[in-house]
Amino acid sequence: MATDLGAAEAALARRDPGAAEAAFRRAFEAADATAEQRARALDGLVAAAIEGGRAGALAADLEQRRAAAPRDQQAALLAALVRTCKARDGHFHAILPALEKDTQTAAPAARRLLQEVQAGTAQMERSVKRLGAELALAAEQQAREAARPKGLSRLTRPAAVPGVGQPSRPDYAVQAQAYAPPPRQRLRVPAELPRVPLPQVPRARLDAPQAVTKPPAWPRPTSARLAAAFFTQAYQKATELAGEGLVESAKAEYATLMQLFPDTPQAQQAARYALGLFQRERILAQGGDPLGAYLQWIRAVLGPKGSDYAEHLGFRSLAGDADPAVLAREAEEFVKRYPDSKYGPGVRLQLAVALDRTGATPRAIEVLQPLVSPIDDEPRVRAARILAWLYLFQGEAAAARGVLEALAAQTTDPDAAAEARRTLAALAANPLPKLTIAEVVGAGDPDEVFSARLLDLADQCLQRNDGERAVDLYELYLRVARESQGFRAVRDRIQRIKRTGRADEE
Amino acid sequence: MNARVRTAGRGWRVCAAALCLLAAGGLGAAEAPAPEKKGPEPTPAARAMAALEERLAALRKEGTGFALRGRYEALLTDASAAAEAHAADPAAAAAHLVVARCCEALGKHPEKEAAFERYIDALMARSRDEAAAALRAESDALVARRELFAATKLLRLMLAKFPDGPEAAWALYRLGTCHLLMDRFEDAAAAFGEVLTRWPEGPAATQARLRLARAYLAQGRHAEAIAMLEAGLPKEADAPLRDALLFDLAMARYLSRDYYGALVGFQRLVREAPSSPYAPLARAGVAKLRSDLLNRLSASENK
Repeated sequence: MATDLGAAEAALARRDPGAAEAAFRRAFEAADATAEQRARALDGLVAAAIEGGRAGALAADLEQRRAAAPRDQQAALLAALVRTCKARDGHFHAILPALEKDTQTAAPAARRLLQEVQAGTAQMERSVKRLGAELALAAEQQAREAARPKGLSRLTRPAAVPGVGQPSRPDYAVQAQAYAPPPRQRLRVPAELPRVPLPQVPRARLDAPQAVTKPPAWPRPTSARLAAAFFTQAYQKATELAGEGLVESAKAEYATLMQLFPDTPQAQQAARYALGLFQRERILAQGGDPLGAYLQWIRAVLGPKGSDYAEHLGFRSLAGDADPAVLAREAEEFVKRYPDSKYGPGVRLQLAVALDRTGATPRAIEVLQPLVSPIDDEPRVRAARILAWLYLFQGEAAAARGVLEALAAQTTDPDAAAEARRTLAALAANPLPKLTIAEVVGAGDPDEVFSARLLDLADQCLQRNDGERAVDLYELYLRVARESQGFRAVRDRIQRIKRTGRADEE
Repeated sequence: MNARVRTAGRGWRVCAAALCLLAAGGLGAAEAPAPEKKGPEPTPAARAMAALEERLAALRKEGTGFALRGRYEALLTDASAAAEAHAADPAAAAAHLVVARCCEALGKHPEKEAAFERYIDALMARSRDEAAAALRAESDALVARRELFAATKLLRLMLAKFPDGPEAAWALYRLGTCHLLMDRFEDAAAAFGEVLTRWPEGPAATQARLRLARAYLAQGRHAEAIAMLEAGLPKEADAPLRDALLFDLAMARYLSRDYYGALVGFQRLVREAPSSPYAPLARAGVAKLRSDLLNRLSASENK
């Protein structure tokens, strides 16, 4: 498939639109084509047809395809149809009825396109009207000039109104006089002119012709320019809307861009900016479920086809503060939707950690086990390290040892291998006790629980007049609980105790 | 003027006391009470010291405000005179203490330190135990008021007076804690190290070990802290402060990013001291360790 597309793009680059169109059509109709390849093929097909002057035939073909295509392909086909009609007719009028019809079926892509086309059409109509007026004025002036008699001045022209005689010549008419130029002086040329040396100009040297680097086949200038222009417009609008507090409308701007130009760098950038809006909402709302909201939104925007990149962005940016149960659910959904995604291993790691936090450690181990054979790249190395630690926390030292030995033997990362060997040595020197106390703390953020218990114990020591031990524990608190709630107030209290020896402020 | 009034007052009080005594004598002759057993008559020096102490107590009850400066100055003059007058008497120590307290109230710290040293010398002449107890009480009071610099000077004085024995161990340990509170970790580590070197089995050794670990951790010397705590861990399961040592050892490993060692340490504490107040903390430590580790390993993709 990739070779077909490559050949088609090569044909388009060497200005062979017939061959390019046929190749793109084959790629577009191939049964095993992915969504991205199909979008590339459709884009190339439109470009080749326009290049070959077959826009009319392609428009009819696209109309037929739209009738039979599933809903997730409608947006791309509609965008292609708009481009084709514009190339065929030179204007957008022909596509307006189709867009209005699609708008009635509540297709957001069609609605956006219709707005753009209507805006473009109105502008074009104004331009055409202005041009017509200018042409009419020019024609009128031309006709007036043509109607004027030739060779007659204002004075010699017959009177326009009968009965009024010709004006008489005035008395002070200028009399023409002959004018004789002064005689020319003869110049004497010397017999021999002095020789002046000519300046020495360095002769041009012929250099070897430089190799011309051809622009890459993708993205083609047409689609790239269109997407870039649309992106700039959408970004400006969205920024303005978000500044006015209309965040949903700002998101809709980015959604339109992603629907019109899926699988382009601009769509990825739009997804990033939309994610920024979700993050801003999270900060303003102080909580909520931004990960779930973002993923729900992006799936609604991009339809069943979706985009693993856009969804993976959400996991990368919003998973840290997400509820482990929500994170586990969404990550499982991602793994189901995109089983072959290149972002799959990273999301699987997050899934395993979320499952472990919800108490489903055996399931987390099941998720990680397929990732650690072989351990040949960075996500697999991390998966192996997490798996080994999960085994250790479960008290299964033998299984942990097996994973660590495989990691030390297989990875090319020297740091990871060294750490695995260190842990193996520590395991051999100091075997893990059989006792497992992993789930004894219960619900709650482990950091908060630890910080609270440490502070309680320190306060107890202070009440028992064991001020030195209390300060020991307070110092530990200051080291390990920087992220805990109310840290600043506790830090000030500890400083006060150290400074005055008293916990109260007086 | 004031001196004259005070002298006149004192004269009147003396006359009144004499009259009372005479009256009591007259009454006694009339009623003929049973003879009482009396202790040895207090020496003039002791009486003078008691009067000074009484005045000092009354003044301190009123406070140390600016309005009282004159009275403190007067007491200081009287106490200095009494100390000189009864220099040979062991009771003169109280006069030095009164001088020291007056200097303290007046903000004359160098004079206070000199007077307190004279007080300690006088006590040493009488009893070393009394001197040691006075030094301990004074240094504790200074530390409680967080007058740490003065406390370190006093503890050095104590070390000079008691270069060996339990008093020296106590003074060195206390000096280390003062340095810790002043964030002088090098000096603190030196003091605690000396305590552990000279009195490895002494009563202050375990506490010194815990404080030395704190000083090392504050300096980022994790490996030294771990080695010192491991070496000092008592074999007996019921040894005092063993749970604290185990907890600090696990935390030192955690801070040095030896996560496996920290996990083993927390589990060992829970297993060996399940009823210790540190056991719930160790359980929470395991959960925190797990959370930190998994977060770190799963989040490194974002970097």
